[in-house]
Amino acid sequence: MTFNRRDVLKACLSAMPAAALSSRSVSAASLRALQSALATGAPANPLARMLTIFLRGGNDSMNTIAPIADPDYPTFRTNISLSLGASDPNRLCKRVPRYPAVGIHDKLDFLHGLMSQAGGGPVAVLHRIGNFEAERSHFTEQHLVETGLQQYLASAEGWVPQLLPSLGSTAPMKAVSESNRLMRMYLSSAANKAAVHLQGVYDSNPVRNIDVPFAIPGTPEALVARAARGVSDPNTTAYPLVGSGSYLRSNLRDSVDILTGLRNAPPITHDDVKYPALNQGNATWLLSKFKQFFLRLEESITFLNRGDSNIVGLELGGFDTHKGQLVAQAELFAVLDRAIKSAYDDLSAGSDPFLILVVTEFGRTARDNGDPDPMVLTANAGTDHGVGGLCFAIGSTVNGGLYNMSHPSWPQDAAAPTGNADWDFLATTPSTGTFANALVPITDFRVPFVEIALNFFGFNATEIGNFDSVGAEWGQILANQGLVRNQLLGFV
Amino acid sequence: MPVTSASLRSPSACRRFANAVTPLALTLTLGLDAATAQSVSREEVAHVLRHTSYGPTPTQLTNITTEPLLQAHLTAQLNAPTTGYSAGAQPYMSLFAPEPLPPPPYTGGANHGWDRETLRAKQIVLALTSDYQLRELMTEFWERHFSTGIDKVKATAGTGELAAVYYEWHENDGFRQRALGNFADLLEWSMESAAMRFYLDSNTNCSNPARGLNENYAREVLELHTLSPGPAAAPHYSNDVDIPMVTLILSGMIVNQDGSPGYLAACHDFGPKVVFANSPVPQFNAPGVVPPFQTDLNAAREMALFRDHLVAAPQTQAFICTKLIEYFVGDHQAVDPTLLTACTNAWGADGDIKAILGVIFASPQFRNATGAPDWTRVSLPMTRVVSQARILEGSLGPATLLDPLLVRLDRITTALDKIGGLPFAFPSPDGYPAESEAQIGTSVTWIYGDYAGRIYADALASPADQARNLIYDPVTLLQTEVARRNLNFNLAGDVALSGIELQFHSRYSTADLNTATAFLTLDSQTGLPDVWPPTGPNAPTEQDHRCRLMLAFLNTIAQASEK
Repeated sequence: MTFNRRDVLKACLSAMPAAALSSRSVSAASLRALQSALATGAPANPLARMLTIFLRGGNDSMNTIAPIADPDYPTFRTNISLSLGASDPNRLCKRVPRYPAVGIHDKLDFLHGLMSQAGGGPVAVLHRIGNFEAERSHFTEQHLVETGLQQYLASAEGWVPQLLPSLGSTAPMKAVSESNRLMRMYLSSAANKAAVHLQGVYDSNPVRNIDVPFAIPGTPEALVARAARGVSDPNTTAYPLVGSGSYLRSNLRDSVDILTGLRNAPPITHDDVKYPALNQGNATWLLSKFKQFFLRLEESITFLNRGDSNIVGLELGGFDTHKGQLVAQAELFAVLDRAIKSAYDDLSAGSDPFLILVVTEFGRTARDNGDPDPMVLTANAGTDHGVGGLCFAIGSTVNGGLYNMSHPSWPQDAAAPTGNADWDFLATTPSTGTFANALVPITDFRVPFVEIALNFFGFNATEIGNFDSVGAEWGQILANQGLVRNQLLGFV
Repeated sequence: MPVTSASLRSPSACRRFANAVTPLALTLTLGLDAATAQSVSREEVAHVLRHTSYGPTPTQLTNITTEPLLQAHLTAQLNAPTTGYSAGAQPYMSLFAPEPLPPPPYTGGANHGWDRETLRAKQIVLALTSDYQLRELMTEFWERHFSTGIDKVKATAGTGELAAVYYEWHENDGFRQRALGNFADLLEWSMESAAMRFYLDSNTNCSNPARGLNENYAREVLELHTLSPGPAAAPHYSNDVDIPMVTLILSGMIVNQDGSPGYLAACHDFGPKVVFANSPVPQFNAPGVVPPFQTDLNAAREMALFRDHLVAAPQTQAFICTKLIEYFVGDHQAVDPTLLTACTNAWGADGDIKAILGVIFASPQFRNATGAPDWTRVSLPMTRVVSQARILEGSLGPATLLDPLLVRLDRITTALDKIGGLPFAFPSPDGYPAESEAQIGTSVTWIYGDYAGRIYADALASPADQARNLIYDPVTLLQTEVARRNLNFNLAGDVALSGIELQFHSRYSTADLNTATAFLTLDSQTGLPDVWPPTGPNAPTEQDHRCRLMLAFLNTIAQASEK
């Protein structure tokens, strides 16, 4: 394995006294010093692999990892709060030994197991991540999370492709968006870093491959090749290419090459236990609406493990829980937990560093929005759009911990990282302004991405500052570590 | 989506342009005198039809030869009847359940002759066959604008699959009737539709503390349906004041058992409310209603006043007009501020869609009168797959029974399903994305390639597979095109040229033409070079296969996705 800066960082971290790591100010300063010292020299790691899962709709952070020690949590959420001994299985949470003040949703069973490992396991839970200029619009906030920018630019490219040109990867598909529509996070019009958008290419048979030749099923190979050459004709001077026309044409050329490569690659042998989609094995609990998600996840993991791709992204919808949150979240968390388990098991079987990043556009309101009585037609039992939210990072180089969700008065393993600020008790929830009835964020939503670029992929600050569209903003974050919102968390 | 236009030009300049184009737009008639009668290129006719319909047919391209004929066509499209179906669509529509559908509740197990498959099929059949193409295109436009997903409607309503289909069907019919009407009616229809009330939880937005308020609809009606969020420096509404206030104004909406809209005074907030006090949007004041008058009717009235306020807001007008311009003119550059002003000037009191479209269609930006028409958009999925069928004269066959008709749509619905573009299925309230960049991707290439290839592949397959596709007769189509151009069908280059120019006019490269020609001169079974036209006992079949291969290929290249 290449000895890279991340190994150095990990070695340094492991050598640091536990007391230093547990002290918020010392650990942050130490990390910054380390990062500064390591900011030049070695190349980025072309073997690093990342899976991103976007929880569309704004996942409710407080019912994912619940602050059960906050005295106002049950009263703010009379109708939907989680508790350790709840009789309603959808309101049940479990305690993690290392963090007895919080409860993890009962359906996140695998995550609970990982977090219960000695040293916090390979799971970083980043709480109170958010946009300090929040609009609380799904579409604006998703756009910002996906572009990695504070400023809304309608045509901005995603932040993922910006990592690609300098990564030095030889993977044929450096990044793949496995989604119905090309996720903005993966969108780029630049040919040298455009991500691949795949969905529906593989069929759903147990042995999955591209079973028809490209473009014209049933044709002899010679004609297929002729068609492929024709489709990928580089002659673009015969007529004007306006706007998206040039991107469309270059994308077609790339697509033909990629599809040809995939067609020649070994088929994916479906594992219906790990990726329940075909109701074989033990998948009877699964609703058919998640079939496509698991098939895409299986493709994604295959691409990462085969070295076909460095970064793959999926999305899971349904988290806009204005109504009926308990049932919806329980179902979605069961799916998410299974997905993380399968991805983790398969990715950790290899030797290359990997990271599973789970993000959402915002958290939800601190208070619930009404009566949960299922017999009342007009019951809500949900939450509206909030600000401060949560993301997860799980992986081989993750510094496991619960970030931004501890308090000096709460019991906690002394060695566990605490993040950059204490938990603000719900009693302090603002009633007006940008953060009205919402969790006030502690850490800017871009910080986890900057840390991933820096400490997982191994770019230095100069390289990050040179990224096309996010370079200026991310560079400012690195340059202004005096601001709490900008401070790196040290989770990876 | 935020308004993307930059700064407007001077008001006087805007007025001059508006005065120049609006009368023209509103008086598109057949009665142009001989001096103005002028021939129009086939390419320009195709440009107009690509943007105002689900693509041209060869017959349309042959028949519309002059500017007056083109203007007459647009006038007829803008004045399509609000109800009923055209002669081209009626035989197929008669196979569907009689309309209007009977409203819920439905007794368990009853078969009413419709389901979500027929609901989707209806949209596709109308896109393929309706002579009121603009009406259908705008129906789809408003379906996306006021998007509702049937799965969530079903889950929220809790009244079963059949009722969910009814809600969507009913809402869609209303959009069709209002597609070329005015925006105020469209907004009212959407706000009152059971589909929307269930989809965005407005039926659970109750001011009674025991029930609870729900912000979902209030937020989206401002952001997605009317005002748009506005620029970050001067947002159109605030999260901490305006959204909660609008939530109160819109509290008390319910859905009656038969799917009709209801208003519940017990769930409506009758207190005084002020909205947009600190925003560029004109302020709205609801003075409040005292107890004797706190009725269902007065709850509805307050909502109606607010709805009218939204329609009249300049921000709504700019947002809707921008969206229409980007859809019809192109999204490759910022919206021309002069055209935007002309459109908002045509808005009138209620948002006159026909007048606005008239302004757009008469604008130089739409026709690009300075030169060859730009291809300025990438087609949305429905347009992409239907336009291929229309230009190749794909046929649904005789209108005999519904079931075979549904089977024949299989290739189209499969492509739309794989691409995530099935009607009524988009999972979030912003609707299927209209931006060109969202229509591009590796799997999109594969899906459209597979769809195009079925022109050829299904001809080789079993009768059952053939029945799953439209009926294509490529030889006759190409023979007609070759004859129209006075070319020679026995020359492969002439056939290829006719096929490529039928679809793409001057927009092709030499390599495109050479590859198309190659498919006519290679044996379809072996891929080896052969003479054209083919000879031997299987010559007719082989000729058919090669023509299909060539047309399939042409429908995989970039131009097939552009409009």
